[in-house]
Amino acid sequence: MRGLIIKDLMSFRKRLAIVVFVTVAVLIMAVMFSISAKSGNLYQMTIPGPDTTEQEAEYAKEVMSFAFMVLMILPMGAVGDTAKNMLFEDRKSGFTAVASVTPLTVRQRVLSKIITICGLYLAGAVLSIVISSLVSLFTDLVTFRQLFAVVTIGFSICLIYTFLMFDIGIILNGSEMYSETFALMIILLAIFGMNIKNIISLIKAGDNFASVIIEQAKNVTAVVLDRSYVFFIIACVLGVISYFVTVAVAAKKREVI
Amino acid sequence: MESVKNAIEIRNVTKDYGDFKLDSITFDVPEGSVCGFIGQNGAGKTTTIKLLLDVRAKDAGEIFVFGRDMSKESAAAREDIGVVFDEMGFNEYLTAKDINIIMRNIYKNWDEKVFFDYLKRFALPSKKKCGDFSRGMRMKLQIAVALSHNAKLLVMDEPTSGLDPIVRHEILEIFREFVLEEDHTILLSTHITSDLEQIADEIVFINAGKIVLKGNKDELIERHGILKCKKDERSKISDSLVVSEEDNSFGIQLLVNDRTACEKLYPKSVIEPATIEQIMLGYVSSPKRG
Repeated sequence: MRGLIIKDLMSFRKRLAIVVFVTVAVLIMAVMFSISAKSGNLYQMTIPGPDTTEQEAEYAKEVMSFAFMVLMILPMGAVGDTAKNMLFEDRKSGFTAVASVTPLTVRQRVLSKIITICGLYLAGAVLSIVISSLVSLFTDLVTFRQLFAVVTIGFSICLIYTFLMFDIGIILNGSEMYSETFALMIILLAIFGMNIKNIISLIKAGDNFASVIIEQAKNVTAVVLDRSYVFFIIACVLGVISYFVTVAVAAKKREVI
Repeated sequence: MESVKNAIEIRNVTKDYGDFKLDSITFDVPEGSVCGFIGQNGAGKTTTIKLLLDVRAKDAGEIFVFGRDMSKESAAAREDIGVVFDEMGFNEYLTAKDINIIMRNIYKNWDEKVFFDYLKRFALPSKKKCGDFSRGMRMKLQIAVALSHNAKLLVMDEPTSGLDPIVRHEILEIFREFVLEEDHTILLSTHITSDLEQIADEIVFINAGKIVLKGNKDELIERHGILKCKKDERSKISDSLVVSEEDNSFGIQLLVNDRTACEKLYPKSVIEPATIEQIMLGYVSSPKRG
């Protein structure tokens, strides 16, 4: 099993340059963002004045902190991108056939993939957290606690997305694009389902759309950041389900992993 | 008398895909032998190999490798099996050095020294990405991997197809060396019958999912023959001896299944030994064609 994990980690080498590039770029952007938000153009946008209403200033602040938080997930995404393509890369190259004639059982082959997926995303999350901790020293836009929660949520959603892709790829023997699209659709539908009340109230808001959306964004962000562990638990549960389902399907179908 | 041990035992194995059926096939491969598994494309060779390795699930039947039931102990049994496919399955970004690291963490008996010796012998660069290898180099790399974990059984699916004669010869030489060890066995699936003439001890011939012929290669060649006669003499030859027939401008050419009997029964006819290719073609074209 260790051999398969090593093989998958080797595929990460070719992405190393991208990861370094993204990390450096994020660091530079985050520092520039922080400086600008403290005393530059971005700061000007957050002060109510003759051209900016109080509501718009608050809206700008919310958008900025949201953009800042999203920025912190990028290094993790760059590392984890390798994980999401592993299964399909093996199929394309024919390594699935090689792995299936080694002394490794289907359980070991599935487990090795799940361990590698989790390991890569975890490494990416650690990288994002390190960058977040550095960046949080220079900004008041967000706290480290918030950034940590964002990385946890990002990590969990990436895992959920990859596990879904993995399952769809194995159960339906789908292509990479097919599995990606389906996984994304499932996640978007879940988000849509969870926010259906908010969406309805937004539709009904009419002229108050801006204030309602700011209020909602604030509430949702607060709730989500406070409960980032829920996403992590969902990812863990899905990981376990994914393992058992994949083992059962792969043992029956063969040659899929 | 010491009984012959079988490296592979396949008993009444069936696999139905709907449009193709592997129909209750049975054959053995004795330990220490080279078994040529022949048949035309789509005859069921690859399916049989995949069932043998338990890569695919069979519908019925039993498969044993070195006495181990493959439906229960396939993972453990695969420690002793080296497999070579017609296409290299390693990711293109991997180098031979990487493959060594991967494989030593997969096979208990992986022998690094043997692997690098093979790389040297095959003149394969250890630091070059295998995606940049030629077809011959890719095949050699697979063979090096298959032979570096002390496998006792080598299962190969069309390993020499698409290779030039020099590389083919080199690879066949390696196989010959492999079977010098008493307990080493090869199952070689191919449709290049000239390779089998050189190396095989046993032949199993599959056609349309059924085993149509099996046995010792020399005995099969000895038994079969090509009987040449004039068209008007054909009616004198017993149908039970004829596998297939072919018309040509000089008369009729018959593949017969008992050369000795034919020589006795038709002493005036010309009967030549048949090659494996002629035997294969004869059984594929059977029933007799005009």
